[in-house]
Amino acid sequence: MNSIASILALSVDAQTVPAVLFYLFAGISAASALGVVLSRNIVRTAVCLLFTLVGVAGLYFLLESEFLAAVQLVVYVGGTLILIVFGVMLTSKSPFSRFEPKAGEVVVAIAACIILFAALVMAIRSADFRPQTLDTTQKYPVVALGQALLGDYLVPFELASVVLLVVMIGAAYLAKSRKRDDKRAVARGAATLSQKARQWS
Amino acid sequence: MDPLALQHYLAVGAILFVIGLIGFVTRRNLIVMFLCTELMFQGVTINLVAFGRYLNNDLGGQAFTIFVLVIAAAEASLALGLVVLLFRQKNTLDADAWRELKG
Amino acid sequence: MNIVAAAIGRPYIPGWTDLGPFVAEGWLIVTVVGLLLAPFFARRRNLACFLVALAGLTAALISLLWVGVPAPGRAPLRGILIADSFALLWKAMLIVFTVGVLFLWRSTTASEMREGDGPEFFTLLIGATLGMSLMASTTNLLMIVMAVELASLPSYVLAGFRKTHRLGAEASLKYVLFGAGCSALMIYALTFLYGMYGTLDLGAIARQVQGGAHAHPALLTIAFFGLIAGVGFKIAAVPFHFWCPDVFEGASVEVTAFLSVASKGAGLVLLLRVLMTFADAMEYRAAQPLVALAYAVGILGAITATVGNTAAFAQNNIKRLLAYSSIAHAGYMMCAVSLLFNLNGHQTDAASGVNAPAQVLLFYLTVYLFMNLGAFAVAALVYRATGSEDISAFNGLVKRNPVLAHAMMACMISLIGLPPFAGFVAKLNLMLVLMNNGGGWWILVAVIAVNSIASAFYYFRVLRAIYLEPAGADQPAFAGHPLGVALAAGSGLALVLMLVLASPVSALTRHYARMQGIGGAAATPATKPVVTVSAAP
Repeated sequence: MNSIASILALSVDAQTVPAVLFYLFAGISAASALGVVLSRNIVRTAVCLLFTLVGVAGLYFLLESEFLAAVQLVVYVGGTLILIVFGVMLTSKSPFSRFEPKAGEVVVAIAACIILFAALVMAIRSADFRPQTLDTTQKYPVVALGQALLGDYLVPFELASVVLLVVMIGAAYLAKSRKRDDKRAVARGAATLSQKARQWS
Repeated sequence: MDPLALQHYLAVGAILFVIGLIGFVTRRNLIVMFLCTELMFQGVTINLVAFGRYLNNDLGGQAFTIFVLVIAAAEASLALGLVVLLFRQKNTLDADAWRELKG
Repeated sequence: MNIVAAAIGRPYIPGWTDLGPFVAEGWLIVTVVGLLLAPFFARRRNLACFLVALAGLTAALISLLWVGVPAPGRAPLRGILIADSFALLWKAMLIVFTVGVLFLWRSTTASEMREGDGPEFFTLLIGATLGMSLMASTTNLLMIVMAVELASLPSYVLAGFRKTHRLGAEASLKYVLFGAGCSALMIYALTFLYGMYGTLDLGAIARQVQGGAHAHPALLTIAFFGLIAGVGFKIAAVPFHFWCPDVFEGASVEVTAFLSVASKGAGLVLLLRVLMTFADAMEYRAAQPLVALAYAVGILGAITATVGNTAAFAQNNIKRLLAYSSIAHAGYMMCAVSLLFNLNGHQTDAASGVNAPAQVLLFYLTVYLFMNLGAFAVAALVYRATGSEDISAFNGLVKRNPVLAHAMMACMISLIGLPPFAGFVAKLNLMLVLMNNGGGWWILVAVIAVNSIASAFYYFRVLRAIYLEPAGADQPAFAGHPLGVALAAGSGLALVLMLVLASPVSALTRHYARMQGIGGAAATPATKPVVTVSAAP
């Protein structure tokens, strides 16, 4: 992060820059997360999610996880989000959702979630997590991650391939249209019609 | 003192997770509900990466994050396949229009 | 030469040799690939895939029983997977049940299914089976999540497999959304276990919890709440049960049967193993995290059973009725899982390593499997004959098809838990073990007893329709597909046999109720029964 400071020619100490960046990225992701929940326009909701994902990728950079940040940008933003946008495009006649729940339900749900949030924050603040030491000189070696995926986590890694295969088949089945059948049915109908026509003639 | 501690990241994770949960519970549009679960998964992955980083660069958190990405992508493709299927039947995506099933 | 030797003789896969006990899972993966290739070689693609799936499951079952349980003491595959007798019996039950589901498909839905949809259907079914069998053999957080997802994701599609059916697609979407929410909740909660204890292995986490290291009560509560939410979604425990009736009604009948037994059983088996890992680390003492957990699961089980039975009264659709009935039975089985500490001794027999709650669960699942298979088979055949899923479709069934009528009677009475059938011994075994545990568990016994009596009313509604109501003019006698009739009759017969042979079945489940790393799993098989349940004369 010092490099960023030197590029920007800022005369700040080494610890301020990550803190500023942290609050920037955290602010972006939290604000656009609120946008996801509050916006009535589905396209705008998807764009807000894009900014959340980018902000979270920034947080990964701060946590020295460049590989994951790249994966987040490529897979999530480039893959999943595009998929969602396609879903929105394929299905929305009007981009606004009409039915929304009653104010009473919303208040109860938000109150419950805020209580949960308060409990979470208090628990996180007071918890004594294991080592608090952070070796800032070290980064995640991507080599080690690859070795972990094909060593310690080989079984889940292979299982992920089965999951993806099965899900691919399932999703293809669900989205596959029946047009060919319809055509065949139409053709069959036409054939019987012409048969009848021949009988009558 | 380090201005950034593990707790800061966990707080961001909690914020994203709870915002996603609020949206999941209160919104009624199927795609928006689904996007809210993606928000919840983002809270999960921030937690995992931060824990891994502060556990002396433990690789478990990173590996877990990659698997969570796989799961989220898989769920996204299935849910959108179903959404497209349902839309073909009814031409709307508002959950309140789907009253045929009793609770 | 070296390269060839390395490629054939000793492939470079870490832990390759440890895969021995998991040949059955390997067969399931091979089956998935075979199912995708089969349509290229056969004209009747649905039938070909049915046969491939059947062959794959048979091979998996044979290899499972052939390989057996490896010598304990080693943690294969770096502790990610566990092979022990508890997992083995569950996997055998699962595969046998899935074969039953295949026959159910053959006898009912096969003729309706579009030619060419078979490969997808069986791929999803076998994929889900693989996930459910892996759910039984892991205590690694990452592996638990992956196994649960592999079991869930294909189930979502299976629930909506009848694309033209309105309710099916809608229920499926409800299922997928609710499932995504629950799995996000579960993984979020599990991250705290990882963060507090720095490992993904539940055994190591349990030992640290026992040592009191870094334990933060609030975060531990959140972690367990999330875990129970994620697994509770699979077993449709209240308050995570909303998807269950809709999905059961919307899905075709063999999928419903599959979800009602395999999905719930896998969830319960996973929950039992996870909680017993913690309980064993704390030596089944009534210490704090354990007491709260036991009470939480027990209360949740009691509420689940009560809600399931109460809601079942109002149902007229047989599949919804069986859905609520399966919720109630999941509640009974959760009561068995709540036996985390023992006031009169030890949950795991030190000499034999037999875990009493595991025995209760395995016994109950064995019986439950046949009860539900039979009930769904009859419901499916009646639906095929009449086109109605209403209870009135059963009117006068005893005249129209006596075999099916008597099979349904056996299943219903067994589901209530009354004597001439095996459901009675399963429930008696459960209640005796709960009673012997001391403490407040007599309350659960009372809840189960009251629930069983209450449940009799709605099960008897079905029986009244079958035996007392006259058949309508539009309800002629029917033969039913021979395979389906055989399935129903076989299930009914099994329920009778398991009552007569209750002692051997009990001994078998006791023999297999041993888990690696829990109690003295290395010890010799149990010879002295913990609870003696003899056959009623």
